[in-house]
Amino acid sequence: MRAIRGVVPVIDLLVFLVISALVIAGAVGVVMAERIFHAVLALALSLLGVAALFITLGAEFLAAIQVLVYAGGVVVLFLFATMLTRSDLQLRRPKGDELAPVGAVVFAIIALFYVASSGFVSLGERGSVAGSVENVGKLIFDLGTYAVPFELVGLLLLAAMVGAIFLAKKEEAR
Amino acid sequence: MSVTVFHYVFLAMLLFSIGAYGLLSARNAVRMLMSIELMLNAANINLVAFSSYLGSLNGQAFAAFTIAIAAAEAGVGLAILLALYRNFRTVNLREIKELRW
Repeated sequence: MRAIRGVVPVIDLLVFLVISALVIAGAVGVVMAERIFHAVLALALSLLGVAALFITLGAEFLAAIQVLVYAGGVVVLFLFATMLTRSDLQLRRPKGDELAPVGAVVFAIIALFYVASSGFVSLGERGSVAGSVENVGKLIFDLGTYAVPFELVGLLLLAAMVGAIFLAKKEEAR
Repeated sequence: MSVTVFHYVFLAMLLFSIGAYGLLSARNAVRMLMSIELMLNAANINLVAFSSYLGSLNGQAFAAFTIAIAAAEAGVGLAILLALYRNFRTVNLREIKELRW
């Protein structure tokens, strides 16, 4: 099994373990937090952890996008939705299903064994490329592979924006 | 012992499992949408990990598209949620029973 960025392997592993502990802790916070506001803050922690993971994988551009779009945009959107809907007190997590996350972990472990036995780890050794803005931009525009999908995504975002404004508008304004 | 693509896939699997559990068990619609974001992020981790492992940037381009779609999904989803809240005065998924099988 080849190291993805193996300069000092042990330190790499340590960094990975710390970041993934943050990601998992944030995800568990999203699911288990009693107050929905705390769940949103845990989501922010988890998403920032994913951005850090992107950096360890050499995807600097995606890490920046992750921080801008998720931590900057989506989390604020969730905070707005939490504050605009009165949802806190009567919607706390019910007691009594604390055992259920154990089921999720067991499922993950079973899936792990399934994947481990399928032997995909023996992929060939190839060098990794830096995912800088320049390289990703060249792939999308210079080579032209993703130019049309890129424009379509812009169109989709426009449609989503119009749709969101239409849906969230007050009824009597129509 | 060093970090391999296997570590990332395992982490993504854990994240996806937690997100799936949250999606199925949520009573609050906001929490349900957040769980979907977690699952999308797990998919993104996989895409970027394999992109880095295979030395090709295609996975990262796909991940960028996924992030854009996820942002659109969150925007429309929360707008629907606000419209629901205006009509039902609640975001409790157990109480919103219109058009439900």
